[in-house]
Amino acid sequence: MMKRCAFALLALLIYAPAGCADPAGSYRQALHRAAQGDDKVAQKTLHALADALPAGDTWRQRVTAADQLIAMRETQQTLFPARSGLNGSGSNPYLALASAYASAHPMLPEARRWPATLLAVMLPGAGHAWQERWRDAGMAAMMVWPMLILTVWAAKRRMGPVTVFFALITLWLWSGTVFSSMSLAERANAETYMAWWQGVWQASALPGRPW
Amino acid sequence: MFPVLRLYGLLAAGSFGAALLWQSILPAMGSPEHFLMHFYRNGIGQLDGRACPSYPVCSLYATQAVQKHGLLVGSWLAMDRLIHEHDDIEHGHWLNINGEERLFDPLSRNDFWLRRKE
Repeated sequence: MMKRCAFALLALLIYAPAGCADPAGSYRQALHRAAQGDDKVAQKTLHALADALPAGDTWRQRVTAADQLIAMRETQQTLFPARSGLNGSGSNPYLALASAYASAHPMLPEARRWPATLLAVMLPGAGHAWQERWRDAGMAAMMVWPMLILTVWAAKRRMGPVTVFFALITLWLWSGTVFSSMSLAERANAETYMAWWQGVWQASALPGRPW
Repeated sequence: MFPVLRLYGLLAAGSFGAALLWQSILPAMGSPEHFLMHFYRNGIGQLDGRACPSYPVCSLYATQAVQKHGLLVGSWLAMDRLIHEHDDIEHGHWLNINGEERLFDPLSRNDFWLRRKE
């Protein structure tokens, strides 16, 4: 008897919040979690909420659309659910609006990470110049070239441990500029995607915003 | 006269050295990178004025990066900050902090892709 009561209480605690909660409040909470970067929790909440709401309900459509858009953001997808043929998105007005915006506003081309990295490896500063970050390219070149010249000079004079020391410093600085070039390409891509995705969200006419 | 001046100079230099030691070296005897960062922030940084236009300032950013990603990757992130702030100044996100314009560039803006790969 006690066991059954405990199970019943547990089931109530697990299923009651999603089923009984005010959909607007739960939706707001989920968006708040997503804005804090907790996309997984937000998606779980939205998913549970969508399951608890009756089919055809406006809040169910909103919740489903928000769930799909947040899933898109998490994996940085540009292929829209409505066009990729995921179930239920065709009849969802919020997703239809977002999809129309996405068709009319394709994302700007991404910064190509690997050419930038390769160029930075071959020539200090070239990776930043490839990304049209001219001042950064100058700074990266100024960091590496003097030390590289000093290392070559020390090597020519056969300075032994001094050469090794200079070479290690050069290697550290050079690898740092390669890292920086790669990091900036990643950042540019992420920020370009976020700007596009925020446009998609706003076009969907969903209430609130998860950022 | 000269011995008195010499003594005064010696005392002044000694007290300056002791203050520097007290402020910058003693509280940071943990790890070498912690010591260097602490020495810069509390010893040199206070003398050379504010040179970093970003928020958080470069030394704090470097400390956070080293604490989070270790010495090598942390130092690369700090180097990246020193490099990229030159172009970011042109179109960065400006904040007003205590009446000063600061370029908002937190660690999370630059290390998110490392966390994603982890």
